[in-house]
Amino acid sequence: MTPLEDKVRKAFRDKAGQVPGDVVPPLRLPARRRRFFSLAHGGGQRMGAPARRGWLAPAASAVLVVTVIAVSVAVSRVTPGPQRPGHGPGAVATSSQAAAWVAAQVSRSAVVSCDPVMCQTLQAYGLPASELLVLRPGGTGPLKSQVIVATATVRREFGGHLTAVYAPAVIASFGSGNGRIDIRQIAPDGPTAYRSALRADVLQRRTVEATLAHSLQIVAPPRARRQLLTGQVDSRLATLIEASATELPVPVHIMAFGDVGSGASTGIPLRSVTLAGDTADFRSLLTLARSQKGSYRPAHTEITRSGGRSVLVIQFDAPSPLGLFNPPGDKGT
Amino acid sequence: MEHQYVVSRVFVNVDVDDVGTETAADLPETAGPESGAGGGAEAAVGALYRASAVSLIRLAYVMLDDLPSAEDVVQEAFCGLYRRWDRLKDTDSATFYVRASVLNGCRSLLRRRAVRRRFSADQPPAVSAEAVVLSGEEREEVIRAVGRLPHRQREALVLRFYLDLPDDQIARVMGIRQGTVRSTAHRALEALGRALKETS
Repeated sequence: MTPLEDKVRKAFRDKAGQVPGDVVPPLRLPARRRRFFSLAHGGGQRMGAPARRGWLAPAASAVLVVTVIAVSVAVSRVTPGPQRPGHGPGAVATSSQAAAWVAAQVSRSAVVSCDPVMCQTLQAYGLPASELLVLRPGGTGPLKSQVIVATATVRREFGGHLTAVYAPAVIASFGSGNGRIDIRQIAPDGPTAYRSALRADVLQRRTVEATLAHSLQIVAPPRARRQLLTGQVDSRLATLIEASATELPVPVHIMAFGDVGSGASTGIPLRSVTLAGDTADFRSLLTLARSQKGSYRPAHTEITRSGGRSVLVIQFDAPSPLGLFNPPGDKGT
Repeated sequence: MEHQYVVSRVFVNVDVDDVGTETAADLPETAGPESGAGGGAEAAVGALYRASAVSLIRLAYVMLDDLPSAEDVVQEAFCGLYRRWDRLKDTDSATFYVRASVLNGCRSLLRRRAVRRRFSADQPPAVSAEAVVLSGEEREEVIRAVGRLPHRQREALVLRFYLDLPDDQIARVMGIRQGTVRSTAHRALEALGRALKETS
């Protein structure tokens, strides 16, 4: 053991010795929901019991997967595809694009409001009915949802109120003319409060991300650096990049930011990043990314190949929360 | 706030009237005698808490340098253990799980602190010269230098020189390879040596 190691060991022990051994707060355990039957443990097995039915969980999963595939194949033969919301192949394509985008990009915890036909299409793309708020003439407005899919039907129903009252910002747009479908973020406190929160968020992002743009631990092409300097990157993504730069021993190599929907309003942030590096670095970064909690945990991570090298894509879901960089005490949106 | 522990559910209190005074290095590798299948989760988790709370709080304190946060992190880890009790294979897993949870909690807290410090005017509290003298100058210098290391290097040092864990266990806890453990600890000691030379 070197003198330095000895010094470190002694410092740690002395430091730990400052915690008294006789004053420990009582343990407060949350009330626990009993698991009467647990497939993962062979059906009711508990800690300490011998593992008798360890095959049950994989077998049940396999049966479930086969059943789902069989049902999907049967359904696809009976029905021609997702419900057609418009009149003609162009409208169908737009509707499918919008539904696919929502299914892939919108947070699973967000409620999406839509007209009945679009809701059916969204369900066909895998969104559960419980996350959809079906908008019917004369029914409740979309304020109980976080995102609204604004088809021609919805625009007709709400008229000017759609942008003036409910949802001022577009996060993605598909198609054109009357067949256009906008994915809009609901402003629960009204458009004025939303715009003000978005403006403040952009300013905060600009301050924070400028630090990242100048960090020696971050390597980025000019375009990505400009996007950081102008605060165009999602706060959750910027936080993860900052954490990676702090925690990982090698610099973070940014190739590009992306994933703002086409036709998005000004100020809507970029929610994904493509990083270059080797697989070992990516593994550490993925461990770090997956250890994040709540909205700070990326919705999608993927290691893939691009231009003969390994790249890691990290993506957060939509809509981006506002106000994460606000000073303590400020309320974000 | 860092040291707020807010859980809006019903709680089961486990009083600790006979807590041990062992060091972190003595952290038991198995839970207490009540932790068997018949003891019930409350009793088993309570027994493990009685056996290891002090050492885990000390571990978190060495990592965080903040006692209320250290206690919160340990509470959180035991609540997590309690919720997942049915899914654990054995008592060794419980010990490993709770220690890994404490380290994860420390990591998250350190990361949040680092981000806040960088992006706001919230600076770490300055240590007065008097406090340094009173609390052992050399120790505080080392602890401060360790605190300036990247989180992963700091964690490798704590696991190696405080918990005395062998490299294979450090690798398991940190989720990295043994080679990476060695290189991380090596880099950490190099950086620490440089930092201490600069301040001496």
